[in-house]
Amino acid sequence: MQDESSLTNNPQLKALCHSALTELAEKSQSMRVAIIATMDGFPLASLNLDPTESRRVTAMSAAFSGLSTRIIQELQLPSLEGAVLESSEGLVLCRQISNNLMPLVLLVVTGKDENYGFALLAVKRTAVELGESLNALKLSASAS
Amino acid sequence: MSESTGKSSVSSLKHICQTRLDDLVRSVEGLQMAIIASDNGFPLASINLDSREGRRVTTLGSSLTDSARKVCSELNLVGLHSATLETDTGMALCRLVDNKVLPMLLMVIIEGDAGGYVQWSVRKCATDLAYSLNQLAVSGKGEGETVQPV
Repeated sequence: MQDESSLTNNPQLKALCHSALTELAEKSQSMRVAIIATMDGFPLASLNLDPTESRRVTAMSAAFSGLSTRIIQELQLPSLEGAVLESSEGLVLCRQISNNLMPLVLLVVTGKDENYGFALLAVKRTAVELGESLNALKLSASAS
Repeated sequence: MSESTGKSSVSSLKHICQTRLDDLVRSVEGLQMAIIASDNGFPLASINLDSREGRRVTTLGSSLTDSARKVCSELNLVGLHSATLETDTGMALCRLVDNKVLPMLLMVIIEGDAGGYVQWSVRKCATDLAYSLNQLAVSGKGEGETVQPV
């Protein structure tokens, strides 16, 4: 695995993440915010958030993700795949992006009119497709 | 409230919770355990859990909802209803039971392919429970209830 700090500054990686978020926004009915970040809270790409807000949100989601993982371990359940928070004003969907480069997380906030099942499916699909693209990116980097 | 009245209202509260959980178990396949607790972590009714495990699980559920509330608040979202953790083989679901008697949590662990039906059933269980508790509040048996560790 490559050095994480060099990876988070990689423009190719950032462009890939940004394009995944843009595609997701096109499919979604009422997406408000979307971020891709490292598991320790460093934002790689975001939609509808300024950089300061991105850091604040990803730091909070990293803390939530850490607690969720701990709860899953305590309950003796297998590894965490994602989390969904349902509120009166919308959904927060958080999904691990499984890949060979580094642990990443996709966080999406929707409006209250979003369909739960559709949003969940779209976020799951984006995470899987992005994971595959990141693995391919690693292959191309190794080949060069 | 006299001591005997207090005891009877707590027991009717626990009875309502246990009845709703029994209904949930009958309607959902793959339910590993379920518990209803006050939102500060005191168990009221459970399925497939002893009392010690029950307290551990409700503490976890309470921390999860607390953390979820903070995330929602950071994102300017108010009124958390539920927090769901998904794993490879199932899910842990924590749902707030909004009622006039006592803020409560319904926590469920499901194994297997937990689809939309499970989400719907848990939501229905929480709504039905809230309705029953509000009826209890109207009849004056449970209003202002405080639950202490058993």
